[in-house]
Amino acid sequence: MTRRACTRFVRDFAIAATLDTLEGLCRRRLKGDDAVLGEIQAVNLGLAAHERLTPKLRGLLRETGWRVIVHMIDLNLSGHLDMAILAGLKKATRDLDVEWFEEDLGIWTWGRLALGVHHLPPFLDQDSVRDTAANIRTCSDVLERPLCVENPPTYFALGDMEMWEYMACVAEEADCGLVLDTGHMIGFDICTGQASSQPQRKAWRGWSRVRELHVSGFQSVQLAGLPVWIDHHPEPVREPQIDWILQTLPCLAPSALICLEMDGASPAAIADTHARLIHGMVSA
Amino acid sequence: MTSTTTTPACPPVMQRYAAVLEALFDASLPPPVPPERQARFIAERERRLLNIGRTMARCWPLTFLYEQALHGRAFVEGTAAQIPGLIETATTMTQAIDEAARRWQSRLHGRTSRELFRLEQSLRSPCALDPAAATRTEKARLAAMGLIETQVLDFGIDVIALAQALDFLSRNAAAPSHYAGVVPDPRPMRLGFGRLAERRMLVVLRPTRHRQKAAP
Repeated sequence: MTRRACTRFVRDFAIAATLDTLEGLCRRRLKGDDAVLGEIQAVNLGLAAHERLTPKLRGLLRETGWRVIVHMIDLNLSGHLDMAILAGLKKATRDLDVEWFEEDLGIWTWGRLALGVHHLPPFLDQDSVRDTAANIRTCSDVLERPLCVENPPTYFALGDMEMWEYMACVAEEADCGLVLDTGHMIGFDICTGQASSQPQRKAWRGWSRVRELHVSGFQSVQLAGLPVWIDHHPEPVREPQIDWILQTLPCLAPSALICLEMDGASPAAIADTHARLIHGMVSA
Repeated sequence: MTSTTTTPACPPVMQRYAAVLEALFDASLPPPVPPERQARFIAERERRLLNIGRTMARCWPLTFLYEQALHGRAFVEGTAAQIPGLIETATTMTQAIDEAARRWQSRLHGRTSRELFRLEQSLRSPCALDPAAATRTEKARLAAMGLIETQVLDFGIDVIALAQALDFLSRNAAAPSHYAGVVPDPRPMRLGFGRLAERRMLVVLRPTRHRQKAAP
């Protein structure tokens, strides 16, 4: 079933891009021969402070008509906020009509070192809520756009709050939106046993603040005798995760986007995930 | 929680994170979490050490295999533990691992591993360890071959034969006992290194029985 046939059942979709992949995605969209890209309404562009879009690329992006969301890279929302990175991001996005910025909570740089997969999750406690909320407000002020914060990929817990509760507290304290990464949340819940990974927690007060849901795969492995679910975007999105997402959707505001954050996956795998989500939404 | 400060410049808001990061990089430190969470913390440290090991195995494949077969996790753990000291100089994890391994290599087990590391480091980077002064003849010979970023190193053993033996074992899914059976030829060598187009090359300067080799 096409989007046109079932518009009222289907949410808007976004697709994740980097500066390296954006031009290819724009061209495929404009060529019109990619069924999935034809059904996408927004692009979620991962951007580091030093990166710049060329005028040609900005023109192509504008031509697609896609809404633009910028996923910042290497900003410590839970620790020492580097104002130079923030200023760089503002400059990098000056000519883009950015609907909102977003970043995973936690620590992504230590000193000058970009930690990558060695990043740290935020401490899940009230001190951290206060520090993080202050940083979010600073970012929004500097960027002059809303900032939504994402639950990070993490497999162990620091602090005693539940991640769900922590995210809601941060969003309330900072008065900001949330990005719910489904793989991150399922993996964290399973690894830490802090809470059952149950999206039907209708009482969760963060639902109304969720602007975007991220969809990507993860690997199930064992380390030191314990199960670990590692965030790995190119992996297939398996059926239990699709079910989790579909059960979550009724809790979200109608305007919340679904972002296919499947960088590294084949176009066929992205199309398959998109089709299963559409099918599930229409069936529901 | 333990509380240590990594650097004097560490902002207060980062100090408790720094203590956790140090314990994730340094396997000799106790997990700075309550007892009921220590198993999960150790699993997380394992994940991170595996990631560091993957980079090391790409940079120094034979040294990594040989050390791990003979001495377990000492090479990767020793290297990872150096990383917190590099946060103000390295900007990427690859840079940090490169410098950390160079700092730690003097503690590799025995001359065989250290010489192997020097060989592989010289084949991947112009930042050679303990280079020798090249003679005018050697410089001319390397330049005549079109090599740039050249360096000359003396080795106390036949590192080329050693590398060939270990490469053979790695290609044949050898067990640790096979690696333990490798006895390097104690013949000293003098090798020249340089870059030709995009590849690092080595040239045997003394003895002269080997021909020019490309980096594996």
